[in-house]
Amino acid sequence: MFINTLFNGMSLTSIILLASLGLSITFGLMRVINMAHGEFLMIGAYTTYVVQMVFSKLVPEQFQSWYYIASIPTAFVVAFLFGSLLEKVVISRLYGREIDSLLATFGISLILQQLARSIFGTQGVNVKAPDFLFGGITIGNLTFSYNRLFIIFSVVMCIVIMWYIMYRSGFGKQMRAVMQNRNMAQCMGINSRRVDNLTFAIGSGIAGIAGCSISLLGSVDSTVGQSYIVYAFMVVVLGGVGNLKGSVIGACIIGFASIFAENYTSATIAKAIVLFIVILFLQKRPQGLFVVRTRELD
Amino acid sequence: MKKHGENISFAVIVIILALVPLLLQFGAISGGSTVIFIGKCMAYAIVAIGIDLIWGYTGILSLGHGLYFALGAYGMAMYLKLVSTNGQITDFMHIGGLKELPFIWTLFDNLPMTLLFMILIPAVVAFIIGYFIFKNRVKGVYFSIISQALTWAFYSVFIALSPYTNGNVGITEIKSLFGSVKGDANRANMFMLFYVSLIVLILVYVVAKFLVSRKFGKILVAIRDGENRTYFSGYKVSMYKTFVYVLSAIIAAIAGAIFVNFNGSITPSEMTIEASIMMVIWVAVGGRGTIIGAVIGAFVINLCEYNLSSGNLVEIWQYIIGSVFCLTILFFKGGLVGLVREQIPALIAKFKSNNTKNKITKKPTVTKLNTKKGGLNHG
Repeated sequence: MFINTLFNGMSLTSIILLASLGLSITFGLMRVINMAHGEFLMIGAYTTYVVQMVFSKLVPEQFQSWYYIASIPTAFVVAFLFGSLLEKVVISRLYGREIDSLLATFGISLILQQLARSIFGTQGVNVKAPDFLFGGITIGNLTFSYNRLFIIFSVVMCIVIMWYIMYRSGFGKQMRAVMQNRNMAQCMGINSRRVDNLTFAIGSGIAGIAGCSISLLGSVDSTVGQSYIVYAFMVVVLGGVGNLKGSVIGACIIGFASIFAENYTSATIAKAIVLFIVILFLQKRPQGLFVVRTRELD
Repeated sequence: MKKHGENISFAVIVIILALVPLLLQFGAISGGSTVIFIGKCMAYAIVAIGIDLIWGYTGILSLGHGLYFALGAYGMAMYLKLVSTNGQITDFMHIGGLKELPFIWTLFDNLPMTLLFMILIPAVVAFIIGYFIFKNRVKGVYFSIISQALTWAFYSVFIALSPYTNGNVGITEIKSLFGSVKGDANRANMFMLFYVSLIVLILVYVVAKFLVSRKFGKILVAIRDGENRTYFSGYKVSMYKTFVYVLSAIIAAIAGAIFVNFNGSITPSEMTIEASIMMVIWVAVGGRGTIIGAVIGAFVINLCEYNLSSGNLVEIWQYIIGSVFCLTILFFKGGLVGLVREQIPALIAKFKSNNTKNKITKKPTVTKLNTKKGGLNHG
């Protein structure tokens, strides 16, 4: 029972983490909150669906279940391109206007949701889990389903890749430099516009992968992103912005707290408890768990 | 003239609104449903004024005013429901397994108590949240996210407590305070309700206008444009913020109560995050930082939606509202009011200067919203 709950908590945590990663990094870098982030999850989920359709038409029977492997990079690329476009057209005009960025991207989110409804209809579509994800490992009387294990595995991969990009690559160095002091970074010859665009696009791409994961858990419709996005926003508040560590710990707190509360009370009370924890937590650390220190006040 | 432009515009709106029932009476408008809809728009205009106070003037973006709107609406709806059942328990409570009226609803069994608690409950919720959030200087998007999560949590609670709130269906089939407003036979009731609502709208406008034209309003703007500087000047910013938050919650609750009278039902969909952000959209499109902008925005957007969002146009409407909102935020920070006050005079000035080949570089002296504070120097 306890281990089962722990396992469910881990799988919720991993999805929230994927959803919030891009949000937290772009907020740290550009002070932009993307309300349309949930729609990138939706884009990822629908991409998975489309890839599945294409595979069922074009690919011979024995390779059918490989569609899911193919859909992960596809979802990343599609969401990446959407993100890059969104950054170019809208976000780049909103630098330093945190609250306005939130509102403008809500307009985008309305448009994207309607776009999904126009293309795929208002009814949800179902993604069939590939054969190799059916079933699960049974240890004692506990069953760990393969698709949740797979989600957790893919999240770990994403985190490792993201960690490498942020802390070990040249691009990551530029990114952190821009995050800490934009003007100075520009003076050192970093093309901050390019860094912004790439970072935003990568964040969106990761949301696309998250969308790929949630398509395994239920039917996909135009509001599929909305159910995770509130959690993702709270992770940003809880974890502080612009660093991996904060997001991971924040997502763990929110994910496990809500699953455990749900297990011992009910789903609704769990939401209230999570919110209560976040508010309580902000009493101690209004800026979140980990803050990139600067000397600025305003 | 220019100084009183806002009040004159509001007077014009009030006169037009006052004429609406008369037009119906003499057959210029067909169908009472349009008038009922305009009544709902008045409720929307009231909540928009509240949001303008907190967002347009104080710079705090709340994505949760749908909650306070719904709290007021549920209170009023329950009173009206209890009137129709003579204070007995309602059908949905019976189905939900309740034997007698739950305590929370016994507070709403007569009108004075209803009016009191309809305002008190949202005010207390807003105070608790506002006090703890603002005290620690949690600001900007952090507050927006918390307020959003608050609405989200309350929404699921309202759905889950279905013996008390009738879950997804909400409280339906209720008459207004003055009796039924549907159909031609009940036209007198509807007119009564309409004019009472109009008076409430005028009162809320006057109170808001009074507040922002005093020193209090100046401090709110100071908080918006430079919060730390306002702290350093010796003002207790968090108290001001909490006060405005509570005030706007109360205004939203009043609006909700009026809305439910016209609408005849209240569902939890009024308290979703989307519904709350739509309210912000009205203010943004109308013109933030001006009370009249909020009123105009609420009417313009809702009337457009009423006329456009039927049948096949629903799809297009979503695209229109999304892009209009996005463009407003990106390019027209002042909304419609800003367009009339700033952009068009600026265009005319430019046109004139081009004509005379004599460039006027001076910008029109209108106070701009300083939303760019800090520029790129963050973090």
